[in-house]
Order: sequence, then structure tokens, then C-alpha cells
Amino acid sequence: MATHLKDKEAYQRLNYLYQAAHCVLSQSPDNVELARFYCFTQKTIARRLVLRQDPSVKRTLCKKCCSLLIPGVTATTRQRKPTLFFTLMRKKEKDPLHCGEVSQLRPDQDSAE
Amino acid sequence: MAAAAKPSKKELKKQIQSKTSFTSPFTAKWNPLPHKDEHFILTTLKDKLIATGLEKKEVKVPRQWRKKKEHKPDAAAEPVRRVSPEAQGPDPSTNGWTDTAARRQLAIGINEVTKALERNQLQLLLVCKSVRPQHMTNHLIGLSVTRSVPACQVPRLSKSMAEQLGLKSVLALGFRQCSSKENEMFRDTVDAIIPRVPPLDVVWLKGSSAFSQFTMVLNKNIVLQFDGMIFQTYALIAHLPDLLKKIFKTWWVFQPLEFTAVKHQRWSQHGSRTEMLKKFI
Repeated sequence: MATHLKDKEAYQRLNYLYQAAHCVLSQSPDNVELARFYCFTQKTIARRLVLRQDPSVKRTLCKKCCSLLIPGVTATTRQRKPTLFFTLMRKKEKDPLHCGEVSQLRPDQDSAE
Repeated sequence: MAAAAKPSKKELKKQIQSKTSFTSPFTAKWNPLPHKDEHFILTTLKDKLIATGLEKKEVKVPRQWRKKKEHKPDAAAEPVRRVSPEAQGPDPSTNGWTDTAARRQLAIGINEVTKALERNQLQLLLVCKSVRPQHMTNHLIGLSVTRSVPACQVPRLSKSMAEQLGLKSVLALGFRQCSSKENEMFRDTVDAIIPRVPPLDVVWLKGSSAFSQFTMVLNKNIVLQFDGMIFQTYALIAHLPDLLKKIFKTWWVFQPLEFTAVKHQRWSQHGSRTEMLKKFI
């Protein structure tokens, strides 16, 4: 059950950056750039050290531009019903950073939370 | 909120290797609603709806030709929501909502509620608790907290409301903000329900409001250098929580001042920064 010390620090970094990004957006919702930079670093760390991130965390990060997605602030969420699948769409709506990335969730994909 | 590293480990047997993963420190949860309030809310709503007689009537017409049926969804040309307020029946006079004015004061359905929330049009929000999957309504938590709209999860909301309104399911119900002329009919229900709604908790938002009283000791440069520290100096990262602990007495909350993203600094400046930070250690 013992984690490597290196990894533990890395996880702490991930945690810190993730929370910092949330803080930034709660303080000044316009400063999406900074939150994006934090999340970009977070992703880079995870990629370099091959650290697994929970899908719930990955869903809140844009795959294209690594911004932090918060429904209502930086992302819009809608329900769609093509054929039989109920999917959630998410787009980035912030004007200068609108990368237009859409991610979809299916009802069976949700992790049991 | 004290937070350490949050890896989640699943170790079934000793032989199977465990894989640590970084989970989210935030879990947005709805506050549980006590039973009395739940019953109260449901009964109030139901009585109100019966009193106003708000209902959507749809006459089921036997489908004769498939081709004709295909033309209708093309004409609609928008994503079909689970709860559509428009009358899509073949006979417009008997179909549709009984009371359109009342219908306009409500936002029924997840999409409509989300849009109204984004435009700050709602004063109360009720969400059905028996939703599977939970993800469909989870985004509403954050949305309603940011706009300070009371919101709560009511089990069996869908069942009771859907029957009454004549819809298939009602997972989210929002009461729009009214001008003084309109919405006399729902105002009393809203006023009755609002005090019963428990406050919502969103950690990262709540944390910031609580700590907004902290006075910032650091000036811009040092905070910038904190950021520089984070992504450049890996070794010093271990000191960071302790640093912040001493300064703020919490380890994870910090108030970034208004500055934009830090560009990568040159390594030659690295030495001076660590000197500066060492003052705080």
C-alpha cells in the first residue's frame, strides 16, 4: 500500500493545481487563461509520469485545449437524444478561448458515484 | 477542508498490482432533504398544479403513413428534448398546454432549466432525485450555486409531476423570475418552498467566499513566482504545502491576484526565486 515518494508529490501537485484552477475561476471567472494553464500543467505532469486520473477529473478538462470546464462558467451542458442514447454535450463557450470542443457522455458510461 | 493527495487505490489481492489514480477532491453533492419537507414540497406543487389545471394534452393519432411522420421531425429541426413544451400533435386546437401563461413561468425539463439558469432567470429549482444516471442533473448543482438559486433534490418528483402535467418525465423544474404583473399564481408556492430548501454546498466556491476575508500578504511578484515554482522546480514543490501552511494556515487555498498566465522563465532566474521564498520557510 506504500506509494513511491515521487509519485506522492506528483499527486499532490495534481491536486493542488486542480484546486487552484477552481479557485481561480471562482475568484475571477474571466481569467480562464490561468485556469487553463494550471490544467495544462496538470495534464503534462500526469502524462510525463504516467499517472492515472479519474474519469471524473478528465471530464472536467477539455481534451483539446485543457481548460477547466465548469458548467455555466466555461462550458454548456445539454441533453441530446439521438436515437436511443441520452448524451450530454459540453462545449466551451468562452469567446476568446472557444475551442468548440464537444464531449459526449452516454448513460452507461457513467462511473458509479 | 484539509486535503492530502487523493489517490484512489483498488487492491483486491496482494498479488494483483494496485494502480493509483488521481480522483477529484470535489464531489458536488445535493443536500439531503428531510422527509417532511419533501412531502410538503410535493403536495404543495401538486395542489398548485391541480388548481391551475396546467396540463399538456397530447392526442395520440394512429400513424397512418410513415413518410408523413418523417416530414414532421424534419420540420422541427432542433434536438428533441425529453420534455418538449411545443405542441407537436396533428391537431393544434386540442393539443398543447392548457395554460400557456402559466407554462411560460415554469421551466420544465433539464435543457430548459439549464438555459434559464445560464440566463439567471430562475428563482427556484427542483430536481428529481430518482435520476439514472446521476450525471444528467449533476451539472445543475454548480450552476445553481453560482447564481445563488435555491435548489434541492426531491425524490419522486418526476413521478408525481409527470402524471399531473401529462408529460413523460419531469427531471427538473424551475420557476422563472417574474415581473410584478405575471406569475402571481406560482409566487405563493415558491415562497412556501424556498425556506424549506436546504443550502447547497460546493466546496471550491464556498472555500473562496470563506477565505475572501484573508488579507493577502504576498505581492504580485511572489505569487507569480509561486506559479513559476509549481511548474518548474519539481524538487521544491514538496515545500510548497508547508509554505502555505505557515502563511495561510491552510495548505491548499490561495488567492491568486489578478495576473495572467506565467510564461516560462529562464533557468538563470531560478536561483533568486528560491532565495526569496526561503525567507518564508
